[in-house]
Amino acid sequence: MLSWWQWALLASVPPAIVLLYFLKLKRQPVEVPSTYLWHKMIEDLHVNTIWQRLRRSLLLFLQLLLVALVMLALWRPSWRGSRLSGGRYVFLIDTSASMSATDVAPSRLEAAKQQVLDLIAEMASGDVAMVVSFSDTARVEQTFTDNRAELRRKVQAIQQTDRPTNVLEALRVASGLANPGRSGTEIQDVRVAEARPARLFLFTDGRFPDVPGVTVRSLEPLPSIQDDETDQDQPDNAGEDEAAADEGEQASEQAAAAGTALAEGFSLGNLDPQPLRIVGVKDADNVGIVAFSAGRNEERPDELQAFARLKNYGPRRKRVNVSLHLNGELIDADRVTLPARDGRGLAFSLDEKARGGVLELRIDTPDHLAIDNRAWAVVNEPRKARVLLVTDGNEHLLYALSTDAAQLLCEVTERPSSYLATPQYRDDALLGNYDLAIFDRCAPPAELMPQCSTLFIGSLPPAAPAVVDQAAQAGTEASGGGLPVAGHGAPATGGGASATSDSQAGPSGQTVPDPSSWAAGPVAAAPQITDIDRSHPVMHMIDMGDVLILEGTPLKPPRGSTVLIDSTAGPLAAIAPREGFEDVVLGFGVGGPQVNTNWPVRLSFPVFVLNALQYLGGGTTVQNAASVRPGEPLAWRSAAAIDRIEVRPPSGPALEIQRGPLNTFPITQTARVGLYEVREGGSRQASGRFAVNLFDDNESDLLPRTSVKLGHVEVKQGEAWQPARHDAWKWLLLAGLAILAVEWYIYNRRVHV
Amino acid sequence: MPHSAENLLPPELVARLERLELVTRKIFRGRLKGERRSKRKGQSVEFADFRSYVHGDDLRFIDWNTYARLDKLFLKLFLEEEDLHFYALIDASMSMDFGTPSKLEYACRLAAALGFVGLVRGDRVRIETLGQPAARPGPVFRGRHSLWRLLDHLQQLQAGETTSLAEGVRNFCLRNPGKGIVVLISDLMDKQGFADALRYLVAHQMDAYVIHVLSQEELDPDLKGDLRLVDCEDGDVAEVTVNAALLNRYRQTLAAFVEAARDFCTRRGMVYLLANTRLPVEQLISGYLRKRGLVR
Repeated sequence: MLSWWQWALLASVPPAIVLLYFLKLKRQPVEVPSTYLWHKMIEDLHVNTIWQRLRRSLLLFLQLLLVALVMLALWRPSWRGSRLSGGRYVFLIDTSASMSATDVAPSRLEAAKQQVLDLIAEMASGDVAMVVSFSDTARVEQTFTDNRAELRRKVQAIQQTDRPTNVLEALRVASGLANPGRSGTEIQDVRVAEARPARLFLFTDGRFPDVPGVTVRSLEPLPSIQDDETDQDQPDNAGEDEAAADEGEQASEQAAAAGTALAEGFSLGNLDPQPLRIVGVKDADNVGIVAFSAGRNEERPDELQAFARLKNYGPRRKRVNVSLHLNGELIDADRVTLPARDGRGLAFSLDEKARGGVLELRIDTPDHLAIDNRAWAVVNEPRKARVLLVTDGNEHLLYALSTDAAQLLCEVTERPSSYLATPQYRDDALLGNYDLAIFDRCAPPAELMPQCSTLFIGSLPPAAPAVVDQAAQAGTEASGGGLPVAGHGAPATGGGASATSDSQAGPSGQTVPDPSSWAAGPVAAAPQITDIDRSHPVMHMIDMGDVLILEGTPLKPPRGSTVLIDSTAGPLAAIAPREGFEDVVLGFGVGGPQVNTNWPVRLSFPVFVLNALQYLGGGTTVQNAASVRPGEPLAWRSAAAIDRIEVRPPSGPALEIQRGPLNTFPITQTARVGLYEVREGGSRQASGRFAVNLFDDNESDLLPRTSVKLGHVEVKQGEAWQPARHDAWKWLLLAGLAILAVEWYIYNRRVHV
Repeated sequence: MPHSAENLLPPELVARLERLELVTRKIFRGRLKGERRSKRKGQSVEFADFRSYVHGDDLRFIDWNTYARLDKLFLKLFLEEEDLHFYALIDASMSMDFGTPSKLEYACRLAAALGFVGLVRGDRVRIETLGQPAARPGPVFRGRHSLWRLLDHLQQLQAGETTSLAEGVRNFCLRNPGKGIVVLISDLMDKQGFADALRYLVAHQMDAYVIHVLSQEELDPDLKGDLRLVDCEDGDVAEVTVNAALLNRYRQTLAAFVEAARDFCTRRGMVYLLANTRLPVEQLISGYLRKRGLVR
């Protein structure tokens, strides 16, 4: 802004120009024979003097206009408009599957990108912005920059994905970048760079769950002096004095305490969430396949059945044509009428010819979202799971493993417990030659846990070598005798010989509890089963009300485990993860030379064994090959001893994948929906296939939400921008330049109106 | 004067002009016997009429044969042949000293050519300028041998006379009361207008020709920018900003001026001719003036 004397100086410019016009033009004298004709002519001209004056003063007029424009520009005129202001912006753009809906032409993502481009165009010079695209993962397309061309280019380059939505991930990334020095999850940390407030713009259709545990703070730009202290304050005490700052620190400590209470606690910090930019229309019309699988008919194992569930997400009742294809050939079709916002299941029976192959279900009626109109299910040729049974004789268990159903699922290799000490076991365990290992009253050495899931019956898995304490080692040495009992010397229930070690190791195990390994309490007599976890697949369809147990060892399973059977004495069975595998431990002996329980003669025992075979041995995935959601990783197991496999996605180049550490081939690039082909060891033929299907209720549902909860803050859809000052001086100066050019042209070319 | 005799009247022009003669639409009385028929009856070989003898007539012209037959005295009358008075009236004001070639030079060439035609035919040729006072007439040339004198006289002419057009013509009329052909060679650029001047000529009952000489610079001025135009005669100043529109308007004014002069002359029985100084004198005489009937 100018001071008064500058204005005065400026105001004197137009009169000066007018004065200059009153000055006589210095004309070049030219001698002519006679001015007779010239005077005559000028006299003629004087007849229309006004016109002549106007014509002469055109240049004056233009100059005055120019000066007026410049003065106006200096006045910094502006208008209240909707516009970006404030300097720093974070644009979060949803690229999840639902954004490919075409209810907004050309697609929701394109519309969102257009909105971002519009905002970028409105950015003032000097403003910086960041572009993040997110689906279930977030991707920083462009870090903070004020290069608008670059921002535009990056926004235009954003690609549609088929993945589901996880807005928390995006918020974390944005917060991490907007709040330097912040990990994004912790509240109190050491700042390494100056954090400045940024505005968060979320461009989405709102098809994601509310985000709990997000703290939204620091909505207003903070006073620069108190920036350090007040940054972590609540906005209402973005205070002026020390006292306020102290209070703020207390408040932030409280907030920190509260934050740690939230497991997913996460703070937006300086991010200021702006009204949501929702793309999409309310009456978008979509019928999607939300589930599709194929499996053997339980009654007739030769027969294949396909199950699908369709859901109509549109506001109107809809009739769709559905067709089922096997290996690309149409084998069945149906016409389904779906009520508004409701679903329906479909079942297809396939004849015997369909032993294996790729089933594809299509909805042939077009709608706004094409991605969920196709679903694939792969039925691979069944492969039996290889099961290693290490036992010194357990006929009940062997009997349960030789049922018809179990025989269909697995091949059992039986070995004595002495086998565990042989080098052959070492090879088998480390190479992962088995899909499931069952240890009956014995346990492998700690460093030789097999590379597969395990079932321990009446014994404990050994503690991890690194955390084995002295007592455990002593216990291991003491037990000896070819039966390496688990670290804390938990007794095999039936083994009377180990009772001595129990008394030694028990207390030491309790004094040094290791949360990551299995432990057991003292042997309890006649524990009563009080509860079983029927929701777990291993305990599916099992009733243990009639099971009696003579002796049981209550388990202390490691952290992250699930108790399967609970008793009056404590947990008797539990399942815990281990490096991508799972270990099930039964705290009581089943079968064997001494009768410990009547479970083997109950119906539930073979069912339990079958469940364990299916669940732990990969029995479910053997038949019906995996179907994963877009972006989810898949661990591919290969029967052949090969180092690498080739994965061919539905589009794009083939990927080569090395054998991973868990004896599987981790396939992570499953971003696109469709059918993936796996070729093993450079063979020409596909040795397996798997499907990536959307199957996501949130993505298929096209009804845009109008508000999203980020923690306790409800962010609503908003069209109205923040009222902001639009500076016009640039335009005025440009107009001034144009006028100057016109004036110059007129002066030189003597054009006249 | 930069113009030499060669310039004024090149030899090749002389050859062409020899075949021409000055023509007048009126029959005038000359001072001396010339080669032209006069209205007056006089002494020539050509018989005109008879009339009765009155006392005092010259006895030499009595037709004695008729007297013998009719016993009456009749006098034989012959047609008189007289010379023609040709006046070239040159405007020698400052404004005429303008253009390339200057308008004055052009006027001198024109006067020399026409004068030569007159000399060859034995006419009485007088070259005068507007600035000459009424009491002092210019020299008279007669006969082919006077050509050099005539050219010499023309070479003496200098621009710079300040007499107005009307006054100059009036003085001319006072000096030369007789009849004849007068060719006024001027640019007619007079602040008082040309009408008065031409009216004097009309009143003088001469066979008047007005040759309006304008230079190319006047017809199509090559001016640009903000100018102060200074009149070379009276120092009058006109401030103009020359642009296309202004030039257009100038041409219109000029055309109107020329048209007014032509109209004025035509109405009063004078012959008007606009001459651009770029136009060769020979072409002007043998083309335009021949068509207008000044020469034949």
